[in-house]
Amino acid sequence: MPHKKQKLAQFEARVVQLINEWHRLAYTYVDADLRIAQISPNFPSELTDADLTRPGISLGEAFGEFVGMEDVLHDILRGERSLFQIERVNRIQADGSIRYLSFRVVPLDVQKPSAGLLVIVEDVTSSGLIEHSLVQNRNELRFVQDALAHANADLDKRVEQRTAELAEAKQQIEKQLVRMQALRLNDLAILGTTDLRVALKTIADQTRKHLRMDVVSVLLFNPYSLRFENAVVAGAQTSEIQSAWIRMGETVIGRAAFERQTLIFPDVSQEPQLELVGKSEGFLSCFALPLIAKGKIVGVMYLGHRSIFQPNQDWLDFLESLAGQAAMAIESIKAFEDLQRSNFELALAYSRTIEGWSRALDLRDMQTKDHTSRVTELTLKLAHLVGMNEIEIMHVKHGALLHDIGKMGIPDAILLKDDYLSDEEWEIMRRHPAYAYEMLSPVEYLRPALDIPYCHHEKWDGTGYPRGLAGEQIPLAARLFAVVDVWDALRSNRPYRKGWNEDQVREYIRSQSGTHFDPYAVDLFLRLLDEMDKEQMDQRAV
Amino acid sequence: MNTIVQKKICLLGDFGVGKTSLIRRFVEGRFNEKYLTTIGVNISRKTIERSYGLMSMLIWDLAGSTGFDSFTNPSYMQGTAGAVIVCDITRRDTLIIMAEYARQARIINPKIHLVFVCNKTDLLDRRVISAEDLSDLSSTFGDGSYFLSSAKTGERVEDVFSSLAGKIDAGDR
Ligand SMILES: Nc1nc2c(ncn2[C@@H]2O[C@H](COP(=O)(O)OP(=O)(O)OP(=O)(O)O)[C@@H](O)[C@H]2O)c(=O)[nH]1
Ligand SMILES: [Mg+2]
Repeated sequence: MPHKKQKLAQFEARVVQLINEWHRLAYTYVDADLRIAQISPNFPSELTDADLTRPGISLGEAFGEFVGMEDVLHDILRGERSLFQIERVNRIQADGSIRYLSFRVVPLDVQKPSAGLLVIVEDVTSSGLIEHSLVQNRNELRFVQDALAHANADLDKRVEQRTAELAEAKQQIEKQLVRMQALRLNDLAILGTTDLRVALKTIADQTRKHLRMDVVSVLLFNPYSLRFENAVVAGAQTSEIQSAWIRMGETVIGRAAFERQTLIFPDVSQEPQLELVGKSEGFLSCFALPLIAKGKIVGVMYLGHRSIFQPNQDWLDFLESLAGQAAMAIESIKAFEDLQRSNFELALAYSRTIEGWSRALDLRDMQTKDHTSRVTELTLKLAHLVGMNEIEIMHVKHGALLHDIGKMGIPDAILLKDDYLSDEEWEIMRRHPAYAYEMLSPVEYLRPALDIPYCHHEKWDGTGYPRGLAGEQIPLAARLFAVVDVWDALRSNRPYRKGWNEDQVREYIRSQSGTHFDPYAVDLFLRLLDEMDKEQMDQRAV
Repeated sequence: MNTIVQKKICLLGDFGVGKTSLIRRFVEGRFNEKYLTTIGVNISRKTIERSYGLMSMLIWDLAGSTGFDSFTNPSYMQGTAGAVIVCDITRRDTLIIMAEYARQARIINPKIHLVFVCNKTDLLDRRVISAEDLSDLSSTFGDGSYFLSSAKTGERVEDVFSSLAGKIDAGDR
């Protein structure tokens, strides 16, 4: 039996020895005071700098890992804990390589833990190196991922930034576009109207809308009164600006003109000296720009806002453009108005002259009273009926008034002869349309009026004079006039015959349709007569 | 005047923030660009002068976190007087991990002294962690102060450890 026991002990010792060798285990015995009492024979000295054989050396002195761990170790000694483990303790070797150790602390005697502790040190370098390379790879991978994420975020940020820049640029362009459209609208308003107030109203409205001002007005300089007077105002709630009458150099408006510079007051409360226009409007900020055309002050653009407003350069630039347009509108429309006035005066002078000539002709010709005015009136009615425009009608009027102007060139002896004319005399008499041509064609203003004086003796069938024109070769005005002229002549009394009655004349005219007269002109004329008769009857009935 | 006190301190923080590098700079005055991760624990010693004598620091370099659920084994923190918690100025996640380390350190040992360090300040152009973030975190778990360090240039590295030593001393008094 003892032999058997001895054998078993021998066997167990051998197993322990092998396990120790294979697992590179070493151990120490630590007493209840945590001092090293014994070390295993194979304990590798390089595991610690301390001298393990020094009597009374503490576990903490031998292995720094146990410094501060006294509480845990006492827990084991008290039987409150059965194991304490420190995994993968690093030991850097002289060659720089790492050894990994595992420390395990257990009671020496499980039945009596207070007896002391067994500290088992296992060399786990081979598994440690495998784990290290796994962790190393994983961490490096994470670094790369991080770097990628960072680069990605960077890219995202740059994309975002670019997108924001683009959006900003787009907004700028859109703003410019809207402003250009506003300017274009103003240009069209200036070009499309000859009414200065209409153009200025468009500009004031556009200015108010795009510069977001409460009130915009344009005042014109009156060179006679030497005052600025309101021309248009947009957005006003009171009549203060409407009725403004401002002397050069006075108030913010007069000052802008006098100083010839834009005056900017973003916060009028900061300007106690300021002579504000628009107090009743409640302006808290105002802006006045002189309107200058060809070096002359023509007006002032005035903007008011009911809150404080600090403009930026962009806003001011746009304002300058709008004010420039207002100045241009004033300048060009005023010039147009001046031109129109002188044109009108000229036309009036011509008309008076023509009427004077016409009367002189009637007197000389000893025409029946009012012949010229009657035929003129009737011819104009026909001209309206055929749809001539204002200008054509004016020329028809001049032509009708001057239809016999060529007779100025006919000697009194022939023109005023009571008797029948000889062939030669007729020959001369028939020259009067050609004389009319010679007289009027050099006058540019009267050239378009020549149709009647030159052609009213032509006949539809080509037998008329002076050129023997036929059909639609004869100008329409002359074809219309020819009917009227003959009608009036036949209705009038002459020294050698009495005027025909209306039916006779109508019948005669109808008979000449297609030979002497244009059938269309005849139809139109007879219809006109019917119309006039009816009107007269209606009037009489009333 | 020859008093020597021995103190255990730990470096905590996400992987790769520079724990090992800060210790190496502090203890050996060297720096290595090459990344060699730490697994397990690596203890270094450094003795510093104090007004009362010397403090022998036993510095635990621990493996960085490998995820949210794998923080330091609580028993390793046994007997720790203070901890340096490190984040990496170029990686935002390391700030979040830093907060978690601080929280856990305070739970394991409510009296532990903490110093917060944002490392790698030589890479300022890649900065993603702001001063505001750091002082906010430090105010939550500490006194509101923190260090911007670089193990590479050595900037503020000594200060980090002497600041922790100062806190430990003040706590002992
Ligand atoms: N530029 C720069 N690099 C640094 C700095 N500190 C550390 N590094 C680098 O960052 C990497 C990681 O440094 P370690 O000191 O190993 O980081 P750790 O916190 O110990 O990492 P783990 O042990 O894996 O948790 C290495 O490549 C270092 O060279 C620094 O201040 N500046
Ligand atoms: Mg490390």
